[in-house]
Amino acid sequence: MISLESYIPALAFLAEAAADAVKTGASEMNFGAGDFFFYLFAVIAVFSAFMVVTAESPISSALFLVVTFFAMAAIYALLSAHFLAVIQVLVYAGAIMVLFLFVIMLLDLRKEELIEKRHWLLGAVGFVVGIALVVLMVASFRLSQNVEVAVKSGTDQEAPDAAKFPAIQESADQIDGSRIEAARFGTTRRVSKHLFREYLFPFEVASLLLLVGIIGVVVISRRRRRRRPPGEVIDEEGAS
Amino acid sequence: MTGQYIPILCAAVVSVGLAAGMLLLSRILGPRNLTKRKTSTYECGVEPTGSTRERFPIKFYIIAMLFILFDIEIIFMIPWAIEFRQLGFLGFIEMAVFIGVLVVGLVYVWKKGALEWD
Amino acid sequence: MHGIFTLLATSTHVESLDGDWLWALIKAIAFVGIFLTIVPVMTWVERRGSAFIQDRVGPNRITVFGIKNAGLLFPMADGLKFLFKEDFLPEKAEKILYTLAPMMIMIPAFIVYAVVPFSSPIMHESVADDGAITRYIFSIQIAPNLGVGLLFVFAIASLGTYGIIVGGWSGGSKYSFLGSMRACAQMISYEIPLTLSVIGILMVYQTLSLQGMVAHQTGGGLLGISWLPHWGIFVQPLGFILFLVCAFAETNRAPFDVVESDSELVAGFHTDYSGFKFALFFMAEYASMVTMSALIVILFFGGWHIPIITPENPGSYLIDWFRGFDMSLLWASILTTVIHFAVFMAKTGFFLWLFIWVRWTLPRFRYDQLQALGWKVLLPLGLVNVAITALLLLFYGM
Repeated sequence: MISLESYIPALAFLAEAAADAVKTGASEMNFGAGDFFFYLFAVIAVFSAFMVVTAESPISSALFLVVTFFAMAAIYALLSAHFLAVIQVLVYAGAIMVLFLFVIMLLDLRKEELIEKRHWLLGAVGFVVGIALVVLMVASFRLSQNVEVAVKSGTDQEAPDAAKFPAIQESADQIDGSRIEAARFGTTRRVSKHLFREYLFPFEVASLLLLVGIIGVVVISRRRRRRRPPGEVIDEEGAS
Repeated sequence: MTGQYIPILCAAVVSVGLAAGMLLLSRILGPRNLTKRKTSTYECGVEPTGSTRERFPIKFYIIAMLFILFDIEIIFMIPWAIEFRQLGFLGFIEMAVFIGVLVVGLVYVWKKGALEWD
Repeated sequence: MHGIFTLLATSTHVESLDGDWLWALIKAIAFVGIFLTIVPVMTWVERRGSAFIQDRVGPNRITVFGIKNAGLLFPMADGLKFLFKEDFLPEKAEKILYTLAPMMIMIPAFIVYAVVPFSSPIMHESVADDGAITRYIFSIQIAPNLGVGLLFVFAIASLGTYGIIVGGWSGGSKYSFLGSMRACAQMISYEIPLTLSVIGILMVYQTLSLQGMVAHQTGGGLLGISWLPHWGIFVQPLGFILFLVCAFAETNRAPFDVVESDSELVAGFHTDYSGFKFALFFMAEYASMVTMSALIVILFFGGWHIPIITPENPGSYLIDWFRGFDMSLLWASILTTVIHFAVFMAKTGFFLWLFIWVRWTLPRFRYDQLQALGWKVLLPLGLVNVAITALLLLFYGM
């Protein structure tokens, strides 16, 4: 969990990182094949996410979102989350976006109808939320970096910033303990073990959520038919 | 860990190259002489009328929505299926409860007539 | 376990050539080549086959240097015609999407082949000075190490829907639009029973890897009969029927071809496509047929496995038999691989013929019947199949 306190070191880190980047050139970075693919898919994801917002036609927007999901699936795969990666494609790209496209076509959105004046307050709120997201991102980036340092330096050595973030030390221990199982990490079997043993309750609750969804679909979209009393003569002439 | 995906990437490159290459080839080889009549939308030889991108029945939306819900349900079953023998009887009960709840949903949809295509 | 897998399991040191990108690229090109020869053959079989079923002669007019070839050269003529025809843009079309749509349907249809095991792996061994044997393995599969195998097929195949939606929508024709809506709703409706029908077989095989599934089916002695293999069809008969029906629906083939029902929608979602863009749609349809046939063979008919060759019939392994002639492991395994490849192709070919056979035999479903079949028959049956499999495994087969 990222608490509010972690924002402050995160902001400091932002300035620090910027200064570092100026001092050391990009040439000193250690750049492997994994990094290359990460940056490739990250750039694709960010670019297509940008296009989702800026594309004129809603259909192109939706298709760019598919590309974003796909690039994210590739990043999951790079992180060894194999099951998650394929599910990302199957559910988000293969199912949810089909629904999006259906809805776009169902509403028959036209370009001219989409351009409307927005209130300035919306823009301001958007700006604040955007800044908050950047800070959150940097905070989580900083957290994850510390975990990496803690793992590399081993459990007997104290990680540089671990005192500031007690959660880091804990997760570092976990990672170190399960290093043997690292090869099996993210496989379908591993997901299954966790899902059906440790996270049994959330899993069962998910079924209720899906049930609510199913009922919601029917309630919202069902055609409201006037129930005819038995024996009523249908007026075919007047039917519209 | 990225090793297992490199062949996929190669297959993707080959298929993209094939599809794009063939389109390009036909573009180079094919003639181009467009006429007004040729490019008009095909409507059995009659002058096209009205807009194509009309609104369409909500039934398609219902199907798509139900598809997502049941698809997620079945995706949950896949890790369960390959780990079934290890999970044993408890696993069976877990999934029976999960599916039981969703079967209630299916029966509801069925009874409400959302699966009827009339 | 099949002899090939025992050989690998007993090796002290195995090196795989499968992670190498150059080999993967060569294999990808080779498999695309195989596919590009299947398509013309399939169009020929489709035409001659339909003529045979309807008691007609079928296309036979083309002759080269006076040699009659039963119309075998028509597909070649078709291919050339596609290339040299004008490929124009209808006036109402959205230019970029209209061009991308055929590629969007064709590319997923091809990427799926990356995980299909066409044959048993080729092996080679080298003995070091200290007597340690290193075995090299070369799979006849582009991406053999992908753990999520079958899920990958489903995930990528589900992306084909976009090609259909975008293709139908971007052309600006009413027939295309209606066709694509129908196709899309049909494909997503049948994706559920399709996935559900393999749950039972996944419970039996306990793996998602397609090569692993084939390995599982090579065991014999089902029901105490030594030559009867552990094929999925015997273990999961209901699952097979469900999968077969869904396979027809997913490929939009008859009797589920309401998508392009010619009498209503001219040609469905690709009505206003011309030239090679149309050819790509056409090829994608055959590509998905080949995928589905290959999947049926891998899931339910033992992949490249030859029925009688089971561990209960020791000495029947081809690779051992060939090595008996003083052959090196490399040559013995190459020969075995070739034979297994032929067996796999023969099985797949049968199901491809079944697609054609059914098309010219059964009448088309009405759209409401089609949706009712998917949601009200196949989905409950799929759940019943899973329940039966689970109970049988719990009480008899753990």
